Amino acid sequence: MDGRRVLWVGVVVFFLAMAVAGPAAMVRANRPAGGQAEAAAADGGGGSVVKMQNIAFVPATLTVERGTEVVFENLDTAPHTVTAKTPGGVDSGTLNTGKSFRLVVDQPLDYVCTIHPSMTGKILLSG
Amino acid sequence: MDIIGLLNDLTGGNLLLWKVLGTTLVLFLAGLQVLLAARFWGVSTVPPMTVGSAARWHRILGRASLAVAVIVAVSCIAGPAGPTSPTRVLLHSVFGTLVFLILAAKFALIRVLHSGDRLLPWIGSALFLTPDPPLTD
Repeated sequence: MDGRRVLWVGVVVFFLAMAVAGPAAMVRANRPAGGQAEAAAADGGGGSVVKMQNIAFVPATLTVERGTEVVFENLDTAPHTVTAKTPGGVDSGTLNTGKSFRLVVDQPLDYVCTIHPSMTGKILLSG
Repeated sequence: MDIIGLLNDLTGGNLLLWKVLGTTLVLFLAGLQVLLAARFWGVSTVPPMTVGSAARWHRILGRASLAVAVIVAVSCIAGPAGPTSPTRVLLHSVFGTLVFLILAAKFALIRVLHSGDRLLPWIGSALFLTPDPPLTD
């Protein structure tokens, strides 16, 4: 096999790898282990940080004490918002990649990303 | 390795904006590629250039658009890829996968196997008509 053909075989293999990467990411994102980690975080193990990644709030449900400062970090490549479902409530505005939003929680909050409406989350108060 | 962090730094924190610009460029070049292919397959006189020039530019612009498309795809795969809901996110992954499968088939045919020339217009059409991942983003 001549050098140029080896190069093109490499290109074909690279394209196949790119094609496989998408489904592999889907399998990885939907593994049960991810759900267990999320559940653990929702039980309080995740602290008072909510990450925005893979078009989702993680953890989706966070329980904190009244007056806790919760930090929302956008680790996605897409912009997101943290917007209360009730009109006139909390609204972070657009958070680009790497940006964060801090919120002192004094009441339960049901929120959504207005850019990606499938992204929803809840903050519950303990005690 | 934090690929997204690196790309985000390189784009001054505007990775999404650059992804939009990149995909727009790829979409424009894809349309141009169809015109050039039609020219050197002899089914069109547009753009007004020789068949040889059309073939040469098809190759040059094809490689340029592939380079941009790969960078955009990597920023998708290393970043938000994975969710299967909502449907448009799932379709984005499915069509992105399909595009790279078609590209692999095309390059395997013309560069490795050196055969299947008659299939190229069909493969090129499939590549152009596959709903563009940016359109499902």
